[in-house]
Amino acid sequence: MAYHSFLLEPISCHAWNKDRTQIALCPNNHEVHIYKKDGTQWNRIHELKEHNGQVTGIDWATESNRIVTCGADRNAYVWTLKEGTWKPTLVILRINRAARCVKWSPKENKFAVGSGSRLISICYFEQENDWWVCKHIKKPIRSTILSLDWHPNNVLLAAGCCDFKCRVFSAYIKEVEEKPGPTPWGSKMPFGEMLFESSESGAADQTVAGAGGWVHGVCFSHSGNRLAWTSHDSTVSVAEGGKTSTVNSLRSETLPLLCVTFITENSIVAAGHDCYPVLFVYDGAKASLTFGGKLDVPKQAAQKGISARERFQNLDRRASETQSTEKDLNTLHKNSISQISVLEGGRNKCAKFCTTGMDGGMGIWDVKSLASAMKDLKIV
Amino acid sequence: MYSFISGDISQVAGRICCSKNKQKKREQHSQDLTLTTVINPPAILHCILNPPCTGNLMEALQAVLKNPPINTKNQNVKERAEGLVLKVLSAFKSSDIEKGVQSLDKNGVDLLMKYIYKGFERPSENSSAVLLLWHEKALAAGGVGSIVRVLTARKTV
Repeated sequence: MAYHSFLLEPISCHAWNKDRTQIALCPNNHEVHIYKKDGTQWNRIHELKEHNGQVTGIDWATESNRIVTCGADRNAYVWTLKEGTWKPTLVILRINRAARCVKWSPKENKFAVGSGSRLISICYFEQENDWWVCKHIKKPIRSTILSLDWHPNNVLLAAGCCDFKCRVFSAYIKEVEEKPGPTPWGSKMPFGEMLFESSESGAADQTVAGAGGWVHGVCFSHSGNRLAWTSHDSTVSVAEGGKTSTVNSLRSETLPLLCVTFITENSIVAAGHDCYPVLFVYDGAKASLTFGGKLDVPKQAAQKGISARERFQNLDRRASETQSTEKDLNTLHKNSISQISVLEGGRNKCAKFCTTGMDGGMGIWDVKSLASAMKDLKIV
Repeated sequence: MYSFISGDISQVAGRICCSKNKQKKREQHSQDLTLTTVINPPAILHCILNPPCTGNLMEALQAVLKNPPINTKNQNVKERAEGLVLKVLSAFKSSDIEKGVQSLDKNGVDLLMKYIYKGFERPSENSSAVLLLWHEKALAAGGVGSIVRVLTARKTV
């Protein structure tokens, strides 16, 4: 596990380049900084200043080497590297509230922006006018879109929203792509069609959870057949395409989780306000989701002896005899983790993943060493 | 005696929910009648507080947590339910609280947390102490997540 502290401010969002030598992140202000790895050091090589409001989302298109950023100033910019500097192109999103999250599609010919104006903007490049054009998905979204994720077929888009639901929409743009084949989520996919919506927690049926809070993070699995999302009521849910009734939620015992990703087809890693990543295992046959374990640096060995004077001092100050407070300081991150991204191996066989948080630090986690360090951790 | 509890609350809740379409006055009257005649507080209290009845307290807990008035907007029903739950919780001995919590499943623990916080809202002489004991055990079973679910729940008990 490697941990690097970039700043003292929270890192709002980050994105990696193709060979994972450069990271673009927003240090909680209007700029985007790109850091390059030199041995063990991280040096800032570029500063992208164009936004007038906080940059809320960054995504790096690895194949075409373009960065898209979106901000609280209701704009999005597509940056291309020309002669060693990044040049921005404005994209008019036609939204009247801040943009919240942005994601390139898998084929990188379009991107989606979620915003506070209760709609998703799907933007694609129109060759004739040399301009980025956007289309809106509005119905039936009732509140801010907090998170987005594309399905591997480049057409379906999952959106987590503040109206307590997670939905799958079709973002099929006929100008840039062919008609997609049928998927377990549906076969007719005109633009803006909603193919799946997570249901409200049932009235008499208390066993259906996962609908009581804002949906913070969504993630498709590698095959696209499974969708996982985390919600503000401390639940994690997984839905399988085609089987609308099997939404399996796990009420976790931790604080709400903010971000989630699949690391294999059956294992999910999520992290959030508890400052450590957590593993969940989904069993497709039994359709059940179970808690796999807490992934973090192992606790330090017992502290050295405390003198009598210290004991009384602690009693006076903290009403407890020991020096350390039980909570929290044993984790790698010292504040909530806000974003998690897969570094190596894809969502199928992830070998490394990276987390950034409100403590301005970035942690790189190695799956193999985690599995060997925690004996009863099973990553299926 | 305890079939009283398991049968009646579901009946009462059902009756209240079905009578949503009737006139408010009739609803109020019928609901008062059913609650007072059917539930019969003194008899239950008498049985709960007598030592030989402690074996049935687990059942009482399960029964009183069944069919919570989550969907009804009627404040009276909610208050009566809360009152009943509080009575059952207070009747437990401190050493039995942990066993009581263990006998509940995850949904039950979440529901118990909701009632505990509802009970905190209106403290009476002894209720806070009892509720705090229950809170400690329920927290050990449900974790911080159960409290988060109380805070984010849109339909309160």
